Amino acid sequence: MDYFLNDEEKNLKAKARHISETLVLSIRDELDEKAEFPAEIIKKMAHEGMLKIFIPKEYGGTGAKIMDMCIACEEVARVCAGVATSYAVNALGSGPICYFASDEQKKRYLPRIATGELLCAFGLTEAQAGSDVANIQTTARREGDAYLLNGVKQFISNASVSDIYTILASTDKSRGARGISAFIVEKDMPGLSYGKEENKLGIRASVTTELVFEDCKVPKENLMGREGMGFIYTMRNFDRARPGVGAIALGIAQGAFEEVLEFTHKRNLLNNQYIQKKVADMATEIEAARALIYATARMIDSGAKGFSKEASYSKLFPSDVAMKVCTEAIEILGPYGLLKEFNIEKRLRDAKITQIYEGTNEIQRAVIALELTREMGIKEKAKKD
Amino acid sequence: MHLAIWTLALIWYLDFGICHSVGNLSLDPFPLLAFFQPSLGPLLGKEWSMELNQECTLLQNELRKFAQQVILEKADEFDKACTLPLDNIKQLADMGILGAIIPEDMGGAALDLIGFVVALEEISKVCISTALTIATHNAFFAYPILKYGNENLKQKYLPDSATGRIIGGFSCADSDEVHAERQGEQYSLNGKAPFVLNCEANGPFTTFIKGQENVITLVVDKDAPGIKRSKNNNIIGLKAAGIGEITFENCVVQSDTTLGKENEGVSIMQTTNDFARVCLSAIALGLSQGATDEAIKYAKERIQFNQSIINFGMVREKIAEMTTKIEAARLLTYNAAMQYDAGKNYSKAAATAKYFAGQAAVEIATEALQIFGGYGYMKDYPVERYFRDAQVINVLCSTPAEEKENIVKETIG
Repeated sequence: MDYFLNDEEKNLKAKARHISETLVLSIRDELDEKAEFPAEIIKKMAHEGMLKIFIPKEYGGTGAKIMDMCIACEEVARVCAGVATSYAVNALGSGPICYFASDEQKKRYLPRIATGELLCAFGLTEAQAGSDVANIQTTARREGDAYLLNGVKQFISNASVSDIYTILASTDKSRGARGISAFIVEKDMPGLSYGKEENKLGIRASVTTELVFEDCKVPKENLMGREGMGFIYTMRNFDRARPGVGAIALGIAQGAFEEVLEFTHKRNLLNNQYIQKKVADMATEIEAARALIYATARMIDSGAKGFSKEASYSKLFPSDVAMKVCTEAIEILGPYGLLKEFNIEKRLRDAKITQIYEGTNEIQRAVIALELTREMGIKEKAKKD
Repeated sequence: MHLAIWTLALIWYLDFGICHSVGNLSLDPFPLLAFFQPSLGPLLGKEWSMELNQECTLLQNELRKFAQQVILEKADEFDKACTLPLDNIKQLADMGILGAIIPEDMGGAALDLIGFVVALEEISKVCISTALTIATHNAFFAYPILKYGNENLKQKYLPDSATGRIIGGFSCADSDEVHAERQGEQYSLNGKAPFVLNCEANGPFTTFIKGQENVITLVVDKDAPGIKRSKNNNIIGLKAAGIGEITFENCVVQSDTTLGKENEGVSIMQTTNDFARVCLSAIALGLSQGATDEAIKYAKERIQFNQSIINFGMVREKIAEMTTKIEAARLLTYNAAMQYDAGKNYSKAAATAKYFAGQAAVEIATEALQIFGGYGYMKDYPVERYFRDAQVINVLCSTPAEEKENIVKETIG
């Protein structure tokens, strides 16, 4: 389907595809096997300006368009969702700085994130705070000119390879979600160390590690915005990041679909109606996912005020499509689909995370239902007035 | 009136007690009584269900204990190391499970198929690889030899299979993958068979070579000249089941190891697949139950939003779906086994069971992992292993599309 991408978008898509096919394709299985962070590839992507796309123009970026992010994520994930995750985490980590940090903080960090000099991660999840984000136990205690952070962040993508982190910690436990604050933490700040490195089912070209804070001293200048705003920043950051996660899922589905087409075409299976039904449904659902992601991205980039519901749509649907496409791809290929060399089984393992990370699909459904309830409330009130 | 009901109840109760096989409804000499069972069950102190006979229940209990106490402990370890769980298999051999379907006069346990199904289900709840090894040995190796092998083949392989001295394997290939040339009293095999089950076990194996019109069905000896085994670790799941490839290079096999008569290959393959389908359904069923048990346990323990996540509607909805699919898969699988035990044509029952149970296993393992959330994605919890193994079970023997085609053929006649 033609989405009438403009020239810049077309160029970005071509560049992302070129990098994926020339650099990622040949080593993705090795990265998957060894569970290795693709440091060289990220460096090359930075060199090609791909880390600029999520940074505003004033700070060395190309405009922080969600659409650009979606285009890049899809292309990279089409070849390897692990690499795509390692890449996209930089946007998730730097998002709060782009939107909520002071001008001074932005100047200090964003230009170097844009060039890839600083890699960036996002630290929110804890052992007891998965879906229940507000339940984080990490604390930040003000002492003189600094905050002392204590706690353990779990399942943090890129934790052990990043230079700076957006970290959520509670500055006032009595206020619950409204007592959570956001901090920009640098890796060399004393009291920060890495904990357990996770052994995962998929996206193994993305490293997932614990971040351990023991009286980690963070200067007060590194508080983002105001105390107590961390939870709201997090939610708004997620709203902007979710279409990108959807795009990773879309890339996985697209990649798996292309393998299926090649396999079935080569073996003259496309005239079998069992297969026809499957590939027709796959093609339709993938296109529906893409249209949904692009529509949401365009909406956000056009300056819409609220888009939580739409952001959740575009993470929920594509991730379910990715799982469905990969699961059925294995069924179509039969036992071959189970083998590494047919390039489906890794995609299935990778696809599963897209239903889980950055808010499980159950949380997306809850967000959507909450928004719908809120809208109904507004309608009801308008009727009464 | 009351007396009449009580008499019926007594007859029904005895009916279960004395039925030599299993209290299968289709075996019920009093089919009309089926109508009363749902209401009479509670009167007799038991819920209505597809009842297993005493022998089956004992076997079920024994294997459940063994699976939970012994197999469970090392299941993840074997998966990570990609090694055959030989300890488990040896102990299962001592329990008679390797000779499950082999007649007593050859040292086997001569279980009904329903008994073997129940055994596989219990093993598969904790280790799908162990279950597949046992199922392959019995269903793909011992079964066709027992049914179609000549006396020599039976004596050569079945007593040793029953004790577990040998672990039989199975390979199935198209004739363009493995070429079989008849030279007098010999076949010369060349090519590569992908997906050899129990390849790593290093035993003899049955091999089906599918040609345009016929299927060549042979038993290849463990030390046959010109075979090379290689284990395949590049499979998404069942990493401890020792699945691999066998390369044949001028491998000479005597034609008297052929199963059945000339031109009987197609029906031998179909018959073997029917039997194996029921066994694979049982494995899919056990996998589904195991994954669901784990998910429920986790959901009860996991606290989010100040409460156990088992309280949340979206989790409860999943557990309801999973449970319903398991119950349906169990009824289909037991039904297929009981039809076989009753000597009926069970091809359709076997295909519907395999199709449904295989799909259910994939769906259930996927949802179980989802209930675990991020933790489920980590190799610290067993649920990702179930997720990977389910993919394999779902396409083994036949893919869902092929299974649907079998169902349609059996249905429309």
